[in-house]
Amino acid sequence: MDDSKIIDLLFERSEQAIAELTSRYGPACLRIAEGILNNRQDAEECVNDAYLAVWNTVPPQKPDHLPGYVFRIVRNLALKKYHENTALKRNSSYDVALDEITEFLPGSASVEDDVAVKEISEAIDDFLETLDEQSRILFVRRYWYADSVEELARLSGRSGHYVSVRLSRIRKALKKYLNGKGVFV
Amino acid sequence: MREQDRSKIIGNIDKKYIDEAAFAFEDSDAVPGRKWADPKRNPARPGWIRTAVIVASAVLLIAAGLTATVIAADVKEYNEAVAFFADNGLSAEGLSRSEVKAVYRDITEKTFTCDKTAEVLQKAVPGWEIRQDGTEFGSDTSLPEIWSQTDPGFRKGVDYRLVEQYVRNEEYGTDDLKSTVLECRMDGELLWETEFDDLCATDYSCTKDGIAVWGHSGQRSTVTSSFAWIALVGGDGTVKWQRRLDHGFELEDVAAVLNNEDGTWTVISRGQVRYLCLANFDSDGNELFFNKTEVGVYGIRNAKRLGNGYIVQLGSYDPPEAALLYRLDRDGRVMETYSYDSEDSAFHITDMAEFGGRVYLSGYSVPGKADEHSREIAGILSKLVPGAVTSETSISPEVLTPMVQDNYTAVLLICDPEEGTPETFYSVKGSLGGKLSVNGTDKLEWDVESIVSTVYSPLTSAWSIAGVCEVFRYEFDESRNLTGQEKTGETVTFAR
Repeated sequence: MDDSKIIDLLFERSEQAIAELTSRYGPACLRIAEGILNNRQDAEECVNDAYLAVWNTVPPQKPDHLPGYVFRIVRNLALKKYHENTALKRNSSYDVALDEITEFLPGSASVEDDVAVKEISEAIDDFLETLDEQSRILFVRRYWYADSVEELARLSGRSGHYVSVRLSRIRKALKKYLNGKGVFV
Repeated sequence: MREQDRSKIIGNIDKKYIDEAAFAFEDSDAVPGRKWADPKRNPARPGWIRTAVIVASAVLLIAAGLTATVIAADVKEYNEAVAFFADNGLSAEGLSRSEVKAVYRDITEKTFTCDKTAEVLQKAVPGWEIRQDGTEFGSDTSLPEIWSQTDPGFRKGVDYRLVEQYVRNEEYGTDDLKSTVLECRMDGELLWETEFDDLCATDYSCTKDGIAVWGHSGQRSTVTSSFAWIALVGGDGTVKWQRRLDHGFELEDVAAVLNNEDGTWTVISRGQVRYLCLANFDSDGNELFFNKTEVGVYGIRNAKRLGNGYIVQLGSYDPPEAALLYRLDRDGRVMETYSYDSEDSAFHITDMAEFGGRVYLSGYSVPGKADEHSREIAGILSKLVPGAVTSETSISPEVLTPMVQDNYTAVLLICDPEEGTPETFYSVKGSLGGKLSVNGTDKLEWDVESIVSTVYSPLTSAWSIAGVCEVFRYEFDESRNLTGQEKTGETVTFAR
């Protein structure tokens, strides 16, 4: 069943929509949540909450790209749980990805308000536009989707070393780009 | 910047990129996934463009009045030039066909008519082959005598050894590890010993500030988690401090403990099989910071200080990888990675050292690629035994040894520490590169193990080809010049 039909089912308030959503995007949603939370139970709970959020927001929303919409909700819910649970013994691939992000978003830099956050995000978008498709996908899958290096290597058919090196070079290039733009001045 | 702000910034990435990446790798039950093409291969151009180029080239040649004979000569010279470039490690990248031929003519005729020639030569890595002509090969020690040397004994002067103590478990009929003892001896006589109860010490390193010892918990199994530990022992055997590492892994292996010579120590370890970790400790053993990078399933073969940071060698057997280096900064962040290999040979790094502001990599190259069992001797075995191996199969050392010598070349690469690019190299045929160390006169010593005799034993489980190497020692100054060489008289065994 394609995405437009699932959206139609949601508009008809048919519970079949959730079954189809689970069947089509369940494993990917679970992977995103588990990558951040490092706990299967928490991740399943998060994904169930995401399905409920989709049910409650579609309609009136009509996403033009359903998987992106669902993945965004899963990610936001997982991050909320991640930040709430300070006692969580962290060792998720998201933790490692966050450490890597400090290379181009250093701890010493300060962000005073939402406007500044938006400016930095836009600069990163501009940078992503300059990358080739493969590099851009690797970056987004690593830092937005929190895929592990191993998972990215498996999915792309490349070695872990290749993925690790490629990401390292992208981070360095992004840092140089942001410094050139005076983002942290 | 707060963690929440970083999350928010990344979370704001434009949805078009999120959507692009969402479908990049689909699970097979949704949409069939696709493997990425090798980026080195150019995507196939549409057929009509390729045809047009070929036609255009033909038109140009004919229009220039070239005869069939001249075209054939042109092709022949170009092929010779390409082969010459390949044989001499020259890069033709960025050169047109005519420039390749012009550079080839310049080098072989020792003229400089083409302005690209200097550029090509500058990109090539110069090196020297150290010849061992005139050295008598063949060992006075027989192979059975070498195999019988299970205990090399203590070296003269102060020497250390780790000894495992076991206690019989009568219930299971097993020998369980009770403790590991670090022994210190002077000319073989015991000076002191330090016992680590219920712990397995895997290695140690002697520094001017004490002996760093490390290992893991005594018992390891698939059902119990284990921990890694480190300790600093004073020159009198007193344990100054001992720490259990707790970085959240069920399995952590310490690969090296490095003295930063500023009162701090750096521990390089592998976490949960796939993380390269760095932890920094003060002089009292308090952990100051920790960093981890996911690198994939590799073992850590070696780690050394490099400038203000570190250089770490990773390796694996499947797929075979023996020349992969990571350069880390002081905080453990990956600054660069280097991998040394070529299309027709494999390079194995055995040791590395920083000297005179350069990184020295000792190792050896083997022609061809390892077979599916990662055996360096795959090429030799395929020539020796094309058919089935039986108890009657035997190859004489006189036939085998030259083949093994041809298979190995010791290489010392001298590299730029920032880029990792080789600047020059030394090689010795029929040998393997060994240990690097700085001697008392501040010269770098490179041990080269030259293969002198071998034996083939296909029914031995631990190896198929084994033998004896004589150790030669080469000395270098900080200007990368070879300043001395000696045949040490030492021998080491070789087994693959």
